[in-house]
This record gives sequence, C-alpha cells and structure tokens, in this order.
Amino acid sequence: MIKNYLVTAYRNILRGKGYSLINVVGLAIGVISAILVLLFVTDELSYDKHYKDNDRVYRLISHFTIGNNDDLFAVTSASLAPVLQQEHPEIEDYARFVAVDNFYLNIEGKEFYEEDFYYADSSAFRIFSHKFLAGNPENALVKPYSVVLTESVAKKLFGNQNAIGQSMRGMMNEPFTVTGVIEDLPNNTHFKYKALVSVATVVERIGRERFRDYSPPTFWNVNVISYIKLKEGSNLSGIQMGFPDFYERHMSSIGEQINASFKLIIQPLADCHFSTIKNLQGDFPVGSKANIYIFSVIALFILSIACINYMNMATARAAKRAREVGIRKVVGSQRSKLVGQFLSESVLLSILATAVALFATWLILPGFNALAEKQLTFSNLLEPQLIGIIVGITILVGLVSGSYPAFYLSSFRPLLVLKGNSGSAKGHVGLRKALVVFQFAISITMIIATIIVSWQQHYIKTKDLGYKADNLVIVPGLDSAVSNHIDAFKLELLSNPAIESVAGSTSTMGLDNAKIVCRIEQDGEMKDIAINLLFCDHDYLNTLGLELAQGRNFDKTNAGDAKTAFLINETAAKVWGWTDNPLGKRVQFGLNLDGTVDRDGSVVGVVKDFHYTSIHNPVEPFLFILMDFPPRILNVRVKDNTRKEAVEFLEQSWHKFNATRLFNYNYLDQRLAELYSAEQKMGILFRLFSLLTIFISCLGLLGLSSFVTEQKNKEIGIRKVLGGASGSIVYLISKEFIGLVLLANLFAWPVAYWGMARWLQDFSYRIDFGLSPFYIQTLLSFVVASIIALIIAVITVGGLAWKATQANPVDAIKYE
Amino acid sequence: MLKTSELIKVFRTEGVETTALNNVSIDIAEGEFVAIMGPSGCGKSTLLNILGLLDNPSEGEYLFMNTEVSKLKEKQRTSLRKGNVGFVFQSFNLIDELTVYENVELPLLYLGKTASDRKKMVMDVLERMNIAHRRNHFPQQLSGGQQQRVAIARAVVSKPKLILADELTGNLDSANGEEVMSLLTEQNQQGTTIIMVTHSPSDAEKAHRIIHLFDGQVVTENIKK
Repeated sequence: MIKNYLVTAYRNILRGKGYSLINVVGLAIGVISAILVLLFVTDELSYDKHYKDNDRVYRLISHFTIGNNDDLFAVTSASLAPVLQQEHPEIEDYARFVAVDNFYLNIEGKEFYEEDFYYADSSAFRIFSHKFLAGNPENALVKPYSVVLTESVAKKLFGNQNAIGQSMRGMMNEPFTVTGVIEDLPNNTHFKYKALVSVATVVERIGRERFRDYSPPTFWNVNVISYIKLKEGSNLSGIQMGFPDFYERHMSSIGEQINASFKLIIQPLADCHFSTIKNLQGDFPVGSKANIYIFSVIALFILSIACINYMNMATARAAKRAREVGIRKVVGSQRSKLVGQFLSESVLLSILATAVALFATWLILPGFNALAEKQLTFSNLLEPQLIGIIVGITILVGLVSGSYPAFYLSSFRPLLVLKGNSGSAKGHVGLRKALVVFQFAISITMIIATIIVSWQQHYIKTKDLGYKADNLVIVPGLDSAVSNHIDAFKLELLSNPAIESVAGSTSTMGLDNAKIVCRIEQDGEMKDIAINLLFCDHDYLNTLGLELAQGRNFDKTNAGDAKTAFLINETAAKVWGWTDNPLGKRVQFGLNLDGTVDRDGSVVGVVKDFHYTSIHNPVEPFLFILMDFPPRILNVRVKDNTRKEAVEFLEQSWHKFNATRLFNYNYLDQRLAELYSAEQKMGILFRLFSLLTIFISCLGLLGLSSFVTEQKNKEIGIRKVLGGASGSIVYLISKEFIGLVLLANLFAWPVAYWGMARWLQDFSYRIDFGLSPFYIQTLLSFVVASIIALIIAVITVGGLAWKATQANPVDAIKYE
Repeated sequence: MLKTSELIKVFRTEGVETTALNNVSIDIAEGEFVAIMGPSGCGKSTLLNILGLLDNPSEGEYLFMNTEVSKLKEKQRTSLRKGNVGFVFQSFNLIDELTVYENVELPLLYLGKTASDRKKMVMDVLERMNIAHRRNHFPQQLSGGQQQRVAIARAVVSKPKLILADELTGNLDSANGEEVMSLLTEQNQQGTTIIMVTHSPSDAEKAHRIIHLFDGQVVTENIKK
C-alpha cells in the first residue's frame, strides 16, 4: 500500500512540475530557515559547555554601592578569590585573569603586539579545560615568564616550528618561554583568550609579599577576572550566606571610610554569555537571548507560510485529484486510507524539500557564518540531537502542510466527483482566503519590522556622538621615548600639513574609560561617588571635536589647572543638581585612606554631552582631569583624504624620536564601527530572512493565481472575444487577491506595532516611534510597508493575469 | 442476491426537490444478468448507485446479500462494497497516474491481499482480458476499448459477487463495444451477478432480464426466454 502511495505521489509531483517546484522551493526555504536558526540557537546555547565540569564553574562579579549609586563590574580584586577559597572549603579551585593591552613580544628581532593575552593563575586549566597540543596543563603556567599560546598564535609567531621551549623577549627584555600550545578556543566561548602568561611573572616583578597582600584596601581595587570552581555536590549557599560576614571582616573598615559597600554576585558560567546583569562594566560581548527568540519566531513564520502555500495549492488543485479520490473510494478505500495517502505525499514532498534544504544550507553556510559571526559547520548537523530535530521538522512540516488538504480531499463523495463535481470551486474557498490573509499578514509584519529595524540601525550608526570620530588616528601604547617628550613630538607632528591637531589621553574615547570614586560637592557637603573619567591634555577637546556648553577648557597658561581644574559633561551637571551654576562646584580626585586627596579643585567648564561609550548605554556623568604625567594614548586629527600620508609621517616621526616599540595605530571610526558590526550584521540577517518571507508568500500567491488563471482560461477567452479589454480582465482576476492583501494589513499593523515598540524600548537611544506621543514617521513606515506588499502582490498576480490575456482566445475556447 | 422494497430517492438542492426513484421494488437473484433501461433522467444511474452501495435511499428497504443496508454510513457501505461489488463506468474512470497493472491491483490492495496473491490475481485477470501485454502502460496510452477492458479487469479482479456497469459501451465504437459485452457475458456465465444500465437495445439483449424505468418507477420487466 505504501508503495502505491509513494508511486502515486511521485507521479503526481512529476505531472504538475511547476506547482511541485513551487511547493518544494517554498518548503525548502522554510526548512533552510529552520536549519540555520537551529544551528544558530544551538551554538548560542552551547557556550562554554565544552569545558569539563562547566556546571561547577562560576564568575565573581563586584557590586559596589557608593552613596546612592550602584556600579557593577565583571572584575574583582585579586584578593577575593584566594581568600574566599581559604574560608570556604566547598571551593575546589579558583583562577584569576588580568588583561594585557598590546602584549609586546620580540622574537629574534621581530616585534609583535598581541591582543587578548592574559596573565593567569597556574590553576587556569583546572577551571577551563583545554586540549593541549604540546606541554602539560599541570605545570605550563607554574614558573614565571611561562606562556601558553593558542595554536594559531603559535603558528603566527613561530610558523611551522615547534613552539615549545621557544624564547621571546618582553617589553622590559623579560625572558618569556613557550611552555604550552593549546587548541584555538572554539567560537562558543564567552572568554576568548589567545595566550596565557603565568601570574608567577607578576609575582616575580612585584614580590610575593605584595602579591599576597590580602589587607582590606586590596579588596577595593578591582581589575582581575575571577572564576571559582565548586567541589562536586557543593552549592553556593554557604558562600552567599557567609558573605556579609566576610565583608565585615575584610572590607567594611574601608567601606565605612569611603561611604561605600560591596556585594558579591556569583554568576554561573552557563549564564555568562547571555549575562542579563544590566550595566555590567568590563564584561565581554554578550549574546542576546532576544536574537534567539526573534530568529526562532521568524523561522517559524517562514515555515508556516511554506506550509500554508502547500495547503492552498493542494486544495485549489483538488479538482485534479477528485476523480482519483472517487475511484479509490469506489474500489474500496476508506477515508482514513486516503488521508494516509495524501499525508504520505506531503511528507514525501517535505523529505524532498529537506534534501534540497540541506544541500542549500551546505552552500550558504559560509555566507551565513560571515553575517552571524559564527563558525558553524555542516557537520554540526550530524549530532544525533540535531538529526532528530531535523527529521522531526521534516515529518511535522509534511504532516502539518498535508493535514488540511488530506482531510479536505478525502471528504469528496464518490458520486459527486465521478460526475465531475468536486465542489472545490465553492467549498473551502473561505479557508483558502483566510490562509492568504494570514500569509500576507506575516509578510507585512516582517516588512514593517525590517523598515523599523533598519531605521533604528541607521539612527545608531549616524547618531551624533558629540565628538568627531572620523579622521582620528589613535596611537595606543606610547613609547616612553615619545611620551616623555610629548610636547616636542606634538610639534613635530603639527609641522605636517596633513595633521590638524594632536592630543594625549589615558583612554580612547568611545571605547574605554576609567570609573573611579571621587568626591563632589552636593547640598553643602562633599559626597563620594564613582565617576566615569579620563585624563587628557589641553588639546583634547579641540582634537576630539568636543564642544563646551559653559565655561572654559583647560588653560595652558594657568599652571593651577593641573591640580585644580576639572571639566564635566552636561549630564553630570544635571544629575548632580548643578544645572543652575555648575562652574566653580568643588570636586576632589584621588581619595586616599589617610583622608588626603590628590586633587582638590572645581569645575571650570561643562562639555556638551557625548557618547564616551557604546550608544547602547545611557550617558552618565563624566569627568575630565588634566594630565600632569606622560600620556598613554595619542589622538591625532588628520585632514580629509590624508590618512595614508599622515600615518606615514606619524611613523617616521615615531622612529625619529627613537621609539623602540613597534609603531601601532588604528582609526577611531573603524574601531567604533566594530562595536556595532555585530548588530549591523544581525540587521542584515534579519533583512534576508524578511526577504525570504516575502518571497515565499509571493511564491504561494503565484501558485494560487496561476491556478485561478488556468481555471478562468475559458472565461478570459470568452470575454476577449466579446470585446473585453485586457486591463479589465486583469482587474477581474487580481481584485480578489489584492483585496486579501489589503485585509492582511488589519492584522499585521497591531502585531508589528506591539513587537517593534517592545524591541525599541531596550534601546537607550532610539528613533521617534509610537502613537502616544504620535510620530508621523510611525504611520509612514506602516503605510510604506503596506504599499510594498501591495505592489509585490499586484506584480505577482497582475503579471500572470496579463500574460493570460495575451493568449489567443480561440485556443481557450476551442479546447473547452 | 439483492432485493429492494419501495425504494424512494429524493434529491434536494436549493429548495428544489427531485424524486429520482419512486417506490422501486426489484429482486435480483444470484447469477442473474439484468439490464436497466429508460430515457435520460429516469433514475437508472441513481438506482445503480444505490444498488452498488454508493448512495443511500431516502426511504425504503434494500437487502444486499440478506443484510439490510439502506441506512448504512459511508464507512460501512465501503466495507461491504469491498470485494463484493465491482463497478464499470462509461468513462472508464481509471487513475491516470497508475499503470494498467496498478489500476487493476488497486481493489486487492484495499482488501489487504499479499503481494504474491495480488500478482497472481492481477496477471490472471489481465490475461483473461487480453491486456496483459500493456500492463506497464498508462491509461492515456490505451485506446477506449483497451481502457474499458482494464476497467472490467479492475472490477472483476477481486472476484466480486456483483458487477454494476453504467453505460459501459457508451464511449466505445461497435467493435469494441461487442468485445466488452462479450467479456461481461463471460463473467456472468462464471456466476457473477451483473446489473447493467444501458441505452443500447443490442447490449440489453445480452441480459436475462430488462427492467424499464420511467420517471423513477419500474414500468415493465422483460424476461428473456
């Protein structure tokens, strides 16, 4: 019996090649979307699960409260983890990591500046298990100056040579040795390092006593990424419940002095990638659960539309199968067997579509990886769980899409259909129309969402940052030969007409800044508060294009500025209650435990607000402090179209000043663009999926209208013979479908509005969208989406109808 | 074999009532060959459909193989029809997507016969119908006469007790018609009851009895001597 079903199905597919192709392509697109989203979601949910004992590993997070302000950091003090372990036997191990910017290495005269190098405890590999290609995880990071490289870094530094035992010199000529090579970290790791340098190196530099200083002040200096691993069978309750007491004994004495308190947050490793802790400073880039939901819903939409297409086509073409149904019933088939037959057909088609989808996935996966910034491979699909899911999707798609047609077709009464009356012209047309409306409602929703998402992304990309990021060359990690002669170096640079201005700073605008507890004047008292800040020189505001709202810049002629002048941003004035007259308000920096301060001065100027960090974060109070020491970073504004020339001159000047460090530079606008590149790529993916949705909706419309046109062949012929104009005939065929597309807006608009309003509310800065208050752009975007859908429908249906009107009417009538 | 008693069939469509059969009582013995004749619209096909369990009467009784079947649901009628009743239609009604062999095999599939039994039975009947050499062809590739022979083969392959033929020579030329009628007669000689609706007096001549219908009623019955 199954063979009979399959043979019938196969031959039916071949008979109606065009419609079969539409069905297969539509279903294949649905399955491709499902497979890609499945791979994406599986990857996202698999972060850090490759580490042995990952369920026992936790990250320590610092929660400071200073005054009324909370600050959370993804780092802790170096003292915290070891002391916690001493007091809590349930902690099996801990490991600490400290980032090193631009790690300098000299290998036989060749210089390298490497990113993502970290100092790490020798226990690092007991927390994060790695496959060692060379070396021993037990002792690779025990001795000072030991370095464990990832495979690709080892290859970069040493080519095909065996890296183990190789020597490298550091910035201070330290003798580093490669003691291990590990496999490159997989993409689904929240903490991606390229090399680990033994913490014993730091001990060697600063001395064991200082390194092991666990006195109260050390707990308040947070700059170390800390992880703990619990013993099997243990839980966190002891640590969490015991922390108030821990704080009391180790930290409260300082806390009282600086009017601050500290809480410990212990975050499971599994939660790190999707960290939902808001405003967690210094965190690694986090994944977005929202993206998982969004793409899952889109894949479901696409699959639904594909299934609806199948349903509509199968029921519209029911008349072609009606006779067969009648005959089968006459010769003894029960309805259930017919249902089984038609479901077999739809499952067969679904299997075919899945085969096409798998092949297409293999082809497009590299492109998808580039957009989604993933390293998914086709072999990921070979995992038993995923195979099961794909098989399940295939069967489910087949059953769902075939369900309605199966029950509809099997309900035909043999007597009626053998007389040539299938009833399909009248019955179930209402349901078919409803399905078309549903399909296009989804498509219109997707178009609206695409417009809004693109609009928001464009807004983020082009938003005024409050400073000029273009044509700004950043030279990080200044050589002391340069920084110690910074004024002369700046003069040298300014002698080149390509260079407009030069300024020094301690951090890079838009990318990083410090957050330190200072003291500000409020309500007649001095209050402690953690403030975002950077150190800069007199030329900084001008070079970055920052504008003053009130007061003045740092003054070169005023020697007092170095100790007493501060600049704040407008938000600081607002938040601190200084809107009336911020100038002259008192600020203290560098709060020492003995009560003294390093700087005690006042606000001399208010800078117009700017985005010192990602646009996703709200602007908070910011403080500029004048540098009285050599800068770490040089900011060089160059004239338009002179980047290459300017950088060449920069490098020449670098060497002219006998800098021994490798000259390193980057463009600020490019680095800022990288901040948003992941988001931009997600946006492209979203647009692609939207296009797919619209495409298969059109495919469905094409199939249906093609069938209707075929059905109306005779009518078209007669109308033409009687003098009907092509336009009126096109209108006759198209009006029903166009009406349905217009009706779809009624359902699409509320859903799209709700979805977009919800999505936008997570942005600190967003487009003007909403009904209350009413923004005309909101309505325009909906209207534009509807017009686009209408145009697409008109072209699809109208084009077919027009083609039908161009045929010779005699042919249509003759064969009737 | 089968017996109807005061059978009435009324069709209702959009407020219009049509009495297709009006108190039809007939009794057909096993092995009989009965022809039903009458003008178009007299109720011949309606009667055939009820006798073949494709439809239920509006009123009256119908005993099929001693079972009262006039009130059966479709599922029950299909069950009873399977293996007991074979149909041959004027327009052949073969499934275009299936070959000759597969078309003839169809009733046996629904009867749950094993593959080997099916093969034997199908080949046997194809040989008898002299169409075995075209078993792998599709209906569109056959002539009208050949298609009707395939239809007859399908109707008889499960060795039903009753064959119902509705104008089976209506779409055939005289030569093919003759051939097809002789096949039917042969089946009857082997003991199968045949009820045939026809317009053709020459076809009707082959029957043992001719029932004339007019306006849904039996008007005459002629028994062949």
